[in-house]
Amino acid sequence: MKLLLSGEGGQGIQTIAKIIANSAYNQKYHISYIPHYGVEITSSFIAKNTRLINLIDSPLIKNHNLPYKTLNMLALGILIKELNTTDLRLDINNVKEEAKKALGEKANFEDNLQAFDLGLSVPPENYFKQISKSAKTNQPLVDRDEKKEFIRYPALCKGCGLCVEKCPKDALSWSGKEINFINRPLPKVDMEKCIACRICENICPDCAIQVNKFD
Amino acid sequence: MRSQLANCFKNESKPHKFCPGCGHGIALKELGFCIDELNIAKQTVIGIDIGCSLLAWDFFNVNTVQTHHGRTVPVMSGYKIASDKNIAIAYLGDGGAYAIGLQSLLTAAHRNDPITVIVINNTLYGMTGGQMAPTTLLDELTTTTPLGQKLKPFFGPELLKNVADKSAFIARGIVSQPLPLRILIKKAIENQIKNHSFSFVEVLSMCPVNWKKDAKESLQFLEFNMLNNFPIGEIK
Repeated sequence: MKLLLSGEGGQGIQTIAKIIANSAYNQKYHISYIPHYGVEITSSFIAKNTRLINLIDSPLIKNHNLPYKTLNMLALGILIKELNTTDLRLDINNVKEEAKKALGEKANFEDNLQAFDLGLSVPPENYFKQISKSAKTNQPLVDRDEKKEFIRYPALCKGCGLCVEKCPKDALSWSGKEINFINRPLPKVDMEKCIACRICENICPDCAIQVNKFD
Repeated sequence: MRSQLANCFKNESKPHKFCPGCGHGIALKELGFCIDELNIAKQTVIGIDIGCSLLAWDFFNVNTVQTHHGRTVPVMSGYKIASDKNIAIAYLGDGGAYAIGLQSLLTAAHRNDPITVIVINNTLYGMTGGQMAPTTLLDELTTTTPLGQKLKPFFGPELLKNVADKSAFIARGIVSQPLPLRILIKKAIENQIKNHSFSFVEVLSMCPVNWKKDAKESLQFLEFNMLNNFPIGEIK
């Protein structure tokens, strides 16, 4: 199996990856640990069955000012818990030993181990962001008035924003609450400003917009 | 009911594999509408190169050939010789066409091989991480030209104009003007069918990931910096 961990530099993603790789090696899995810096981070978000673990909005850490190492251990706990539902089953005590090797000299390590245990025991609804129903079921979102209809496909939109920039009447904006299949915001249309010129439909690289004009 | 997708698209492969905001999606969409308008989906073969263009392999319900890097043009020339009634389209990036595959492209234009070549020009190598390409603009920053490119960009269609036959069709389009681009691609395919001669379209495209720009700045770079260097329209 392939496990792609991607993150922004300096946030501790390397340490988490090393701990998982070393622990898997100790349990006699055949592993390759390939650190890479580059553009793969973008493509990782486009995998079709992405489930985003969203810690920022979860009630676990909202309004608590936690240090980064604690957050890393919490994320590691959640990752190990999710990995144990797949083919890669890691022994939790071994992971803790490897974490001690990597982070043991840092301050507050014992407290951070508690964060790891907490991550192992959190129920999924606390960190999996809800994907909108329309993005899951490929249901188009239709805005309609007497002269035109504006259809958006959340299962196709990648949120590049070309339509918002290209609109000559500034009818499209990011103010809506709908999200697309990779949990990025979906542009919202102002039907009073829209003149159904179809520039957005033509520029969209993902064919996620359709504008119909009624005669 | 009218659909925003072309009929020849493979709907199971959508959303396609390109990054958000990539110009390949727009160019391929227009190619798909051209294939629909000419009704040639059953007799078309698309040859794809190494690079980002290879991600187009399952974009259409059309047969595709994956070739070696830069060798898309000679493979499609050979295919056209073998089965004359079918339509051969070579779809490749600027690295494959102007760097490693330039001699193949020049020879195909010189021999007047009856194929259609579509080159996507985004001024750098996208899949490998944004290195300098022959089409990199003067003073443009890439990962291998951190102080700015010192050379002028390479003008492919202008070069091919000098060696190509009289009946050849050579043009340059831009993805931010999709409908004129569709007309150019349609003319290029019709030139292959009717005049049986070489046709070439370069498409100015964008790469927000490797340019490290958002949608607004990408469009600005495409429509000002690139358009000032590369004139669009029918060149021959």
